[in-house]
Amino acid sequence: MNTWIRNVAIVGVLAVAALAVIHEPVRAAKTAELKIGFISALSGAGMGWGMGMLGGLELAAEDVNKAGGIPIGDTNYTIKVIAYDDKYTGPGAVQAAQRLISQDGVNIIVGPLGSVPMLAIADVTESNKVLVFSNSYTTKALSAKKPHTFRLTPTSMEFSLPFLQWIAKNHPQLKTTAIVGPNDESGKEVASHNEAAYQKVGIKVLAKEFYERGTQDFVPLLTKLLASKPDILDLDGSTPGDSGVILKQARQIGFQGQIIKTGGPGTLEIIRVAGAAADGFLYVSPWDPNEPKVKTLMERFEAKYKMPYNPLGVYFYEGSHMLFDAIKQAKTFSSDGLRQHIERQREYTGVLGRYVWGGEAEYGIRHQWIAPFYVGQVQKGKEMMLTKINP
Amino acid sequence: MLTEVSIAQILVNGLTSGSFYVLMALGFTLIFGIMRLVNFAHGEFYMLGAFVVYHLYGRLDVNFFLALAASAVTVGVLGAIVERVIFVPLRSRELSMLMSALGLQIALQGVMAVTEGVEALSLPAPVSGVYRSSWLIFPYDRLLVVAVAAVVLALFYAFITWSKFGQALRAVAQDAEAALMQGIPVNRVYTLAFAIGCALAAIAGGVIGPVFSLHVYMGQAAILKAFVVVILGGLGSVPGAVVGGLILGLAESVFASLFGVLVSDMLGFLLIMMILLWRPFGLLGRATA
Repeated sequence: MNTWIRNVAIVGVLAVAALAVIHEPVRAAKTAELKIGFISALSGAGMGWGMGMLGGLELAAEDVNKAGGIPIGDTNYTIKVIAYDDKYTGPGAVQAAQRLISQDGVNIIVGPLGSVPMLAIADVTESNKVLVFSNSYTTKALSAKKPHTFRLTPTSMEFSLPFLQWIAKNHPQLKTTAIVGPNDESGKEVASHNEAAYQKVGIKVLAKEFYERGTQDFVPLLTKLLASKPDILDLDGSTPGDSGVILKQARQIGFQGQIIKTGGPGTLEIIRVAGAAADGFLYVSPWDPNEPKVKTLMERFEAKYKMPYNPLGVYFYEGSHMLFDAIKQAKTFSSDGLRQHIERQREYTGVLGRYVWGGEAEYGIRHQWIAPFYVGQVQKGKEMMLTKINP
Repeated sequence: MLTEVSIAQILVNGLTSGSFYVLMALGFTLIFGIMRLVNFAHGEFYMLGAFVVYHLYGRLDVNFFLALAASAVTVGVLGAIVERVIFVPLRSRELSMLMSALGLQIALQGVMAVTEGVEALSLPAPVSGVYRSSWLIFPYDRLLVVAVAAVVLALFYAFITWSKFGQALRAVAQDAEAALMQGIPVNRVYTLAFAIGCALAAIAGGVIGPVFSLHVYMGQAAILKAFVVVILGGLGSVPGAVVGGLILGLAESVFASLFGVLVSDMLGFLLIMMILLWRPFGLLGRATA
């Protein structure tokens, strides 16, 4: 009898132990979704940039989900992206932000694109303590009064001066410039950063003209602008499509000087529109399209979205990975916990190299991501990178 | 500033821009004149015309003028189909037609964005080179647009004035009921007028495309200019579209050269407002329009 009781007790203990062993992996396998909101222009004129941003976020989310998600406590979180199209407008962005916060319950938003949508959503996102990882050009996007807003794209504030220093050093014959840009927050911001940088490197700004977005015939404007006979024509924050037309029309009416651009990537589109007129064009590029890692990323994007990858998207691929790593390390996605963790982060190494957090002197808060960039030149219709400038 | 930019250059720039605007506005004002329809999708027919030329001339190497003619026919036929399917059932309900035109604009943009992508493309210019002198620079591709605008206007004028169908068009424009009583097949006239309007938009897109760039949203800027031109010239008036286009082009060029492009936009619209205060139905419009 004692032996029988003993055997039953042993079997019972073993069974409980086995259950405990089996139970543990079940607890570890608990999964949930972490919703990340996304706002950008997914239709209309800014769609190329917007889709590039979305692709960056979704490809990074795909990487994380394939690797099993983000473990926090006993739960593995897979990333779910909820994307809304703001049509590159302020009201569209506000509507999307309100919907993401109140209906979808997100507390992290990637986007929006452009200064106007960015400034428009700030009240809604800051009052709800929602973290925003944006793209915009305005200096007003970041401030100590906006502790939940970060910017993943370097602006002309970050790269105008090093780019123009490189030009002044390598093309000392260029002494004067004329600026042409869109008449909006982005265009004016880029122009003001460039003007300050031109002054520092000793290049004189002879004239500047701002046009309404949607302008197609730039010849009357260029006729006036180029009458001042500048050595450089600076395309400011013009879209790639507009830049291509301006470049083509400037060459047609006889401008033989240097054409450059600091704001807004999209050189392949510029080459497509301007054709042979684009040769010699100098620009700031977020990536080297000939680098194998970048090529792989471009191929992944093009296979998934059936459209060319806009270089702007690379910041959002790298930035989204930085964000997911931060969640993993901080073991939280609460606004304050994550914000404090990112604020302690000094730098991040991604596909393109080393990124650092900066902006304290310029914006009063260290929420500006400063990325490495390239000085590129169009040579025989191809993008050639002349040098890499690290932060 | 006039010492730096010659007066001839300013005037030539203005007349060239004006020719662009006349081409953009011609079909738009024709459709309104006959059908009393503000065709918001006009810019999309302009865009479709440019893309037909892009595929035929830019990719398949068809002769440019053949491609332009094929574009006019293709988009004209599409316009006729659209008119029969969408606008015939809504005839006499002007507001419904207006909303349908808006819907058509969005649908055409969407379809083209899916099939062609949203990035800007370039159409190689059929003529290259630039005329240069000490007082004037004039790229030949812009000269081609001026020439095409002149030829299209001349042909259109001859068609309206001397052809039997042109006379029927004018009769319907003046009084559709009276025209019907005279045995003119008004419904067929509407369809053909819409088709011709769309074909004119396609020619405009095809010939202006190489000068600017091609993208699926290019019609938005075109319709805006066309709208301003026909309001200035008088809704439904073809001579008004010509006068309105040239005035707008010249005003923009003169003001942009003297004061800069932003002041030019402001002064251009101020001028238009003053003209409309003086002539509320446009320069050559009729009170019944």
